[in-house]
Amino acid sequence: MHALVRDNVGTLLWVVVFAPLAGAIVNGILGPRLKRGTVSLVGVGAPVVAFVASALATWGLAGREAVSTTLFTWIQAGPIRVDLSLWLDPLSAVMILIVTGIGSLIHLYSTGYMHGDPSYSRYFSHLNLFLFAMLLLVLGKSLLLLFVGWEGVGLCSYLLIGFWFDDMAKAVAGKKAFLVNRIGDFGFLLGMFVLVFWMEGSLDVPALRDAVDMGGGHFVPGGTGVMLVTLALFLGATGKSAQIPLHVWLPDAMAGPTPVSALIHAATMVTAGVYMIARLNFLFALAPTTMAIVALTGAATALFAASIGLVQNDIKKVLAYSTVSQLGYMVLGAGVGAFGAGVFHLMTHAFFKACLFLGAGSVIHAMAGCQDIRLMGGLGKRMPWTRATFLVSTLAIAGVPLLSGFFSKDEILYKTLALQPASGPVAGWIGPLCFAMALAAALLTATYMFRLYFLTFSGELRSHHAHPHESPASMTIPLVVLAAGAALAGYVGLPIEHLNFWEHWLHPVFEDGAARFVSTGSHALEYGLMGVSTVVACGGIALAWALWRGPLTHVPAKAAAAAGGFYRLVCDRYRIDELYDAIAIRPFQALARVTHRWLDAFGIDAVLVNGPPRAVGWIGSIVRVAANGDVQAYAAALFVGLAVLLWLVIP
Amino acid sequence: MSGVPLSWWLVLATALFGIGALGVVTRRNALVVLMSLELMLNGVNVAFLAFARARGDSLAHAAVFIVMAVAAAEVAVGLALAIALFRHGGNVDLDRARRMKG
Amino acid sequence: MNDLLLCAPILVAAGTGILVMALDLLSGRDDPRKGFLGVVTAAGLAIAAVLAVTLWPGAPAFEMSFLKGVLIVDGFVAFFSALVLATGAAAALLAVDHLPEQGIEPGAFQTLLAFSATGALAFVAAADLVTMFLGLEVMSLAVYALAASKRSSGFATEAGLKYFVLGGLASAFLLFGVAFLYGATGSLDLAGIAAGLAGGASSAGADRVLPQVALVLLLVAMGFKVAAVPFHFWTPDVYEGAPTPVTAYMAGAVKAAGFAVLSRLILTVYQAPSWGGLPLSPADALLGLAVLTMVVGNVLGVVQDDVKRILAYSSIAHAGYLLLGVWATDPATRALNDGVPFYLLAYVAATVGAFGVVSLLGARGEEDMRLPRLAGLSKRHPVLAAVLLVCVLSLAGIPPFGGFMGKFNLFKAVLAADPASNVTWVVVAVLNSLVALYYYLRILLYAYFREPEVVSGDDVAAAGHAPAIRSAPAWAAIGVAALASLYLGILPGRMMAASGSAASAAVVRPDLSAALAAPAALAPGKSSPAPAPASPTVSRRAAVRDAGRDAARDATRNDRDAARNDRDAAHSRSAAPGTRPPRPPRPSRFAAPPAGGGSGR
Repeated sequence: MHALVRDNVGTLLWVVVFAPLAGAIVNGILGPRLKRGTVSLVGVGAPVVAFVASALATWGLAGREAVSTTLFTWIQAGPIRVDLSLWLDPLSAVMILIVTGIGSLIHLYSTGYMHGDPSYSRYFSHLNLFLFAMLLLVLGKSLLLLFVGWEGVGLCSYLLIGFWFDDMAKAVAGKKAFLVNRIGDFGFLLGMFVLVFWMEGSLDVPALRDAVDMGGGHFVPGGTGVMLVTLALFLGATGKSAQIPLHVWLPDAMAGPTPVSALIHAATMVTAGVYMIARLNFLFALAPTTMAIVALTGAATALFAASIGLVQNDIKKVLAYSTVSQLGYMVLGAGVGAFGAGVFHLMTHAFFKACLFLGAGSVIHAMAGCQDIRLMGGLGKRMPWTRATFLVSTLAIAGVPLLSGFFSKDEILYKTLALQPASGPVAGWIGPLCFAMALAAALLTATYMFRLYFLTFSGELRSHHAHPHESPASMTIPLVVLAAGAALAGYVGLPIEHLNFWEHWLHPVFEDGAARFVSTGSHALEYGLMGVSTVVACGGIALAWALWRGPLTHVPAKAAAAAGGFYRLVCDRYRIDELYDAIAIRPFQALARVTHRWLDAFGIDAVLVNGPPRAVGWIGSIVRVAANGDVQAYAAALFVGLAVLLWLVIP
Repeated sequence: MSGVPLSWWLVLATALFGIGALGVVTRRNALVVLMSLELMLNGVNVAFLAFARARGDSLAHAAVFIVMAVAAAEVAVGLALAIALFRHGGNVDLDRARRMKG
Repeated sequence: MNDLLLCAPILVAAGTGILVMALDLLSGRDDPRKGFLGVVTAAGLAIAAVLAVTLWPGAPAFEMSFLKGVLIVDGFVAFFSALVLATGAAAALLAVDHLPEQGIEPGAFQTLLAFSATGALAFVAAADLVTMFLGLEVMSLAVYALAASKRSSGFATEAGLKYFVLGGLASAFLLFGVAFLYGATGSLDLAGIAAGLAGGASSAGADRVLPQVALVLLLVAMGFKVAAVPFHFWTPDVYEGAPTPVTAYMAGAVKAAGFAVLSRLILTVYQAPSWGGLPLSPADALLGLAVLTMVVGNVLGVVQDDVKRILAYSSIAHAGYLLLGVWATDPATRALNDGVPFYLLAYVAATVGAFGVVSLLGARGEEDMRLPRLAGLSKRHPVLAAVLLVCVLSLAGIPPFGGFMGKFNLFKAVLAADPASNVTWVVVAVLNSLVALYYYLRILLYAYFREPEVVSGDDVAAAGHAPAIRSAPAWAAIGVAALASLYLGILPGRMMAASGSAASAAVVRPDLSAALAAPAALAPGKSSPAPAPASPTVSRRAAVRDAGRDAARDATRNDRDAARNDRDAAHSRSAAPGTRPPRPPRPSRFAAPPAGGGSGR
């Protein structure tokens, strides 16, 4: 059996990628004419098939470095050759399991959540298409194929954020996500083009890794070229993974249906930036400066987003800022050279954040669309399953010991202090600074998450209109499965030498990148930090209990009043959107108006486009006089032509 | 005939062709234009026969017969068109056939 | 029997005409089933087309004993005959429901159409100039009558009359040219004339005047048929006034036949290597006509308001591009530019489709085909609008339609013939295509983006509210035209190959002359350049001459190849320092099997 699977991993990979595409095509074309049950079957069946194939493929991969399969040569232009090839290695195996596994659960959940929506089949078609693009992103052997998937998931994200496009605000949110991502994509493209030149045409990741291994050429550790290329690529990652300064789109993206937020804007697509850095770890590791910037960006984003999350009142917005913050952790992990830890957190986060979003969806479903936590309260009694699963995930994200978030977050915190670049002049204060920010963010995380939990599920219902009720089984089953994952997923990466299955599994992928970092840590430091983060997590929870549930409930309002301007600044998300509006959007719009008026309307339309035809028409109106309709004049023209030709031909 | 040089015959042929051509271009009456066309074809026939005579072969004779047959067919079509023109305005003046132009 | 078999396409076409005539006589005067005649005509012509492409390519022409020296059948003739016959069939289908709406008598119409196609076949396949003249006249006389077939319309009569007068004039020119060629060479068949001119090329000036004058006369006559400027004036008037299926036939079949004969005539008779040293060689005259034709066609197309006139000027402009293609022969091979047949194919498909859509707008005797008639077409008749879109974009040369592949291949071949000097003319042609875009897009603008003006009463029809004719045969014809335009643009390979083999057969080889000289029993004249019967001497002489020419050609080609090799070598030498030295081979870390397999470490 294993031999059979082992020999057919390539075929399985195509099944993984094309099953969702087939689902998207079937539901996209035939959807409106199919019965709702058929749409659900196709829509949920496709990711389940992909998941089973992923699991088999991963099983078949075991023990090998990688498996590659080529369908055909996609582009062959001079030295540039891009094959349509898939590439399964331990990293992409983990990713496809996450994407298809959590994707299947969220598809199942969607059948309940989107039940009454008139565009049911369009929803599933887009969601399946997203899975296809995401799997292409993950499995693409060539960077170009990865980029195709990258753009594909961006497109699907746009389509699904603006799923209810008749609401103008939601359509605008989709557009914003798309445009902000374009900035990042510009960086990605730029970096990729430079790599094309360096690599003389090939963009295959393994070939790139070989070239970096060989060294020489442009691939010098600490080289300026490598630094610029990786910075450009990192710009792409900041766009996709919502890092400062391109984080502004993700909170707005919550306009989409909640399962979409869970799948795309929490579990999978937004982690693509982290995945890309991990995928190119050998390249990023060559540039210590870039790595320092990556780490600082991640830590700053984690802290910054957590502080906003503390004051938001929309249940999905809190979770959105929480996602930005957690993505900051992953980027921090990648930035300090702990690629395995970053991807580990990616995996655990996928479980608990998907669970949290789906729980939030369940709550919104129960509250008939209301998302304001100030109007909720006491839902725990009416929605026991939702409450239990939400609590498990909240504990996990807060970093309470023995749950998944604890292991992964702690790993990152520890490595932030422990790892140093083996070469390259990087200031010693960066590690401790990042650690401090990340630790502060951990405290805030525990606090705002439990604030959310207490306001939603404890106490008494503050809205008088809602009649909450538990969601159907199609929604609670995924919640339970995900909560189980949120509790247990951490055990694949226990911080004990021989039990750390995770590091062992991913070792072949990250060995090159990790080799450029040296560990100055010790077990004492590691276990000490565990104690610190346990204290921080519990402290945060206690603080939240005291402020929003316990004896100090009057304090938050007073503190807000005391902080005054600063409080409002945080509430307004530090007014980053307004800043961008002033420095980028308005000037661009002014520029667009000027170019439209003078370059387009006058220069091109009037002079270049309409000018020649007008001139031709003018000439034509003169020439057409010759065709006066008189057949004998025409006959004369024949003779004139004859005479001219004769005169020319006869010497 | 044997005494007349080839060039004279060619001049005659060209003259017939030219007179016909002049008629086509200048005469307004469709019937006269039709006759002028026939005159041009007959000029060509003269040229054919003159060449055949000078070369002493009979190949062109066949050509001339074919041309005469074709000319007859052409006249038939031309007359039919002249009648159609007449039906639309009571005369066969080509000046009327200039409604489409430009 | 073999001869009759080879003549089958022509016989079937002529038989179709006779059959239709008989069927017309057998049916009653106002028999509602007369639409059937169009289907019969189309079927007959289609069968003839299939026979032509199956029987003719590769048929050794000189094995025909019965019609030896009268007809040539080869791949070139097969290609153009099939094109002409297919266009004739399309016109017959377009006419089925168009004729009753316009009050045209179908029996005579379809009969004339079949006979015209028969004439066009003889015109294209003619081996001697008298047959060619006969074919031309059979084709043209029928079209004169067809153009005027709407007897109630003054416009149709005017169109027929104009075409007749000018066509008669052109025929006279052609015939005069034939007479001069006969005078110069003593021969009437193409190969014999070519051999005669090549043989007489060494003689002095006076002997050259006759062939030169003949060339000019033939150019004028053929220029008239293909609507080259300044012999084009009839085109817009006749295209506008004639019933639209006839216009489609003229723009497609007559033009294709004209180009077939024009290229064969020019290339066979006037491309002899020794035919140089004149102040204006035939090639220069062709080039002048080509450039003038595309410029005037496009410039005048811009100022038109009538769809049929726009398409007429478009057909003139296309004639210009095609003339450029005929002009640009490869100096080494002297064969027809292999982009020309394909271009004609793509042009004919698109233009027949476009005129076909216009013909369906001619319901209830409607003759006004100005642009506003198209307004709102995309809403009222989306399928018609889509066909129009495909065909017009193909005419404009926009990918992925046949017109684009046609232009691309034609211009590429023109460049390949002489890269250095022809680039100017290709640029001129491309600029012309840009100008043409303006009027093509105007058609689509009206069809897709203009709403019909709201008017009352009798003007409703004029404003575009008249329904299009519902006609299954016509829809089949335009559907095929649109699909062909797509097919030629997306999968051009097959037809490009056919075009290439047709082009390679365009020149009637002088070695055919020797074989064709065999029936010269007709004219065992003392001054005949190829004395009959085919004596061993003649054959040997011809063989020697051909061998010499082949050797010269091979030498030229070898020289060019050598030059290219030198250039390549120089290029690689100069490029060497700039490129990075190849990396040393190294073992890949990941041995990646091509598909499905795995690799371990």
